[in-house]
Amino acid sequence: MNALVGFAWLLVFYALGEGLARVLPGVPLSGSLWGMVLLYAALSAGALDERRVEAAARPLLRGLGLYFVPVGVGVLAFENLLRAQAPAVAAALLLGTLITLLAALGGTRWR
Amino acid sequence: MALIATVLVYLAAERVYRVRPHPLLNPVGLAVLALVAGVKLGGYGLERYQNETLPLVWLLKPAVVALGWTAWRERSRLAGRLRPFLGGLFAGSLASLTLTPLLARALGAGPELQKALALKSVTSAVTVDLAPRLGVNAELAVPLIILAGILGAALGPWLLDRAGAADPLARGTALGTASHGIGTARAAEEGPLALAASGLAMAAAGLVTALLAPPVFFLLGLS
Repeated sequence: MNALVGFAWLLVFYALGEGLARVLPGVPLSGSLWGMVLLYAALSAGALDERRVEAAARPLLRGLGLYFVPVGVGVLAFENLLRAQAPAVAAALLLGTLITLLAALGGTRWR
Repeated sequence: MALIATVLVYLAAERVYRVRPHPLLNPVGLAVLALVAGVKLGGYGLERYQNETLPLVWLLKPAVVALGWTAWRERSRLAGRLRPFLGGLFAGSLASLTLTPLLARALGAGPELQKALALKSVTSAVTVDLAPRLGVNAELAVPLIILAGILGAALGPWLLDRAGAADPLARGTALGTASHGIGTARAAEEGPLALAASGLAMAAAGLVTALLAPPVFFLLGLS
């Protein structure tokens, strides 16, 4: 399947998502999150051939980590803030992560 | 220049991780560190660097849409086990969103950091998109998210062993809910069911947090 066709489909769903976000400003979802929900719904309903999307989604998601590297570099602007509060941030991150893991594990007991 | 440099540094970081796949050598973390050093020492200017790399960041939009495909594909592998998955997803997301900022507050961190830390378990892809709506600084949140992912991937399996979690669905759900993509890469080592649960949890946690964050921030006095 053609990756370009798949990419076009992703952009179509992104555009639909942006439209929905504008029509429903009360729901706190961005255009791309709406697009994600709409794509999931279309695939579940069988309205869209999965192979069409896969041809673009697979290579696009392969590089997912790369796309937010520039945002991470922006941390430079917060160097002083982070330096000043480093112990609090480190402790909150560590404890918060362990608590989140245990809370999620507890939640999976729901039968 | 900045765009090419970012791609090349990231590819090099990926190669390092492939040779030595340890959570601490996470490619995104390594690439950010190297580029921060480069921008700072090279005197390139952060604003110029960010302007030139904007096209890369824009790709997050279709990539988040593509997560709907991931979710759909993994969902079929979770057939009949939706309840434990959803239970873990909601409990984990809510715990992260409320308890992390409260912990940070108790430790003396200011509101800007509390809000950024509240999103620590949301995949960076979604956070970049979500942050402006929530009054969160994405540049502050993303490095914290990467660190939370590294911590979860490094310590998660150990903690889950100690808690007596043997079920791959429970382990995958916990890793994906707490540590997004980095946790999911770790879950992949535990088998296909853990990977499916983790991948789906990563996409769904972004959605759940987007919906829950506005009321939670309001209740915590952070909005």
